[in-house]
Amino acid sequence: MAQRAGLLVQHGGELAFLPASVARWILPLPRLTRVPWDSAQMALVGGEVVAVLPLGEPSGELVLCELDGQAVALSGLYAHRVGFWPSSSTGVEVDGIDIPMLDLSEALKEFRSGRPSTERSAP
Amino acid sequence: MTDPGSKPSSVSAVQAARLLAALEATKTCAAHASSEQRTANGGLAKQRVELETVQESVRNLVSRGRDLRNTLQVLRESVDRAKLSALNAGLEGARLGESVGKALVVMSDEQRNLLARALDALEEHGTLLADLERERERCVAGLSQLGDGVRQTSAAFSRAEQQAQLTCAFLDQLRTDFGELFGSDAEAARAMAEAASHVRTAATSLRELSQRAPIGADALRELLSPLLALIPNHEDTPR
Repeated sequence: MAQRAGLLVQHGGELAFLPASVARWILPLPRLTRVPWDSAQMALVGGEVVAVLPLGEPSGELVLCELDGQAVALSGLYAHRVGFWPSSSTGVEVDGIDIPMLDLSEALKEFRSGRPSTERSAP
Repeated sequence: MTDPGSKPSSVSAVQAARLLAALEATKTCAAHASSEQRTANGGLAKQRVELETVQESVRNLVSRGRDLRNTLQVLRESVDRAKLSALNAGLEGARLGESVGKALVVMSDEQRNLLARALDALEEHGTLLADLERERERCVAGLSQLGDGVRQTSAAFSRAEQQAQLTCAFLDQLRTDFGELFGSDAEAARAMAEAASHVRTAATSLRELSQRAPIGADALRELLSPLLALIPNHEDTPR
């Protein structure tokens, strides 16, 4: 069975898998800045401005990823383990348990649509 | 109104002497009480100083506890960062592929496990420190109550000492008034009392003698009987 390398993260109480080709770096949560008139957030990471996709309540960690050649940071995740695991139909199999791939499609769709937040708007 | 020159007939000289002696004894007792209270108050003052030293030490413990908590926080942050570094090293290994990066991934996983244990231990230390802080708070409250108690006891001792001193002053005044009331008879009464004391001693000796030599003692008792009749309650003298 093919092995997949990647990162296990805790997302909303569930474990999810992020492939090593996507997950690049884990860092302590820096200061996040909300983009004016938008729901998106930004962070300064290594001197570069990176868009932040909030996937949950702030966890104190930021997972820096590369999606379609673009750097994107994910907040609201707890990095759990790194390793090589047998691939499964939905993600990887860790100790006999199927761990699904982290679904970023909804968050990315929302982010790319630039839908303004109804909860809070920047001045 | 009583004429100061006249002497109350109802008070005999011996009774006056007894009153005077009782006054003296009461004054001596009051002076002793005052002295004891002063000594006790001195001891309490020392205890209060020691208590304040202990309270200062406990206050220092509060500050040390805060330092420990800050150090613990720094340690926790450092271990958290180290855990992230281990995960990042693992990610690098994972990107390198299983053949090259497996060792790095295994090492990083081991590091992560150790650091997770260190974090658990730090959490435990934090809990223990919180328990210690609660105990210390209880100590602070107890010491504060103890300090209040010592202060109140010390104040009570001071008041008692003042009262004893006042009693001494009243007794002095009473003795003066007594002397003014009985005039020179007080001295005569004192002499009489001394004489009575001698006679009482003689009576005691006489009783002892009567047990040993009844015939000679009877003769002596006859000789002393007029004198013994002058002393009230002479039968109460110890046998």
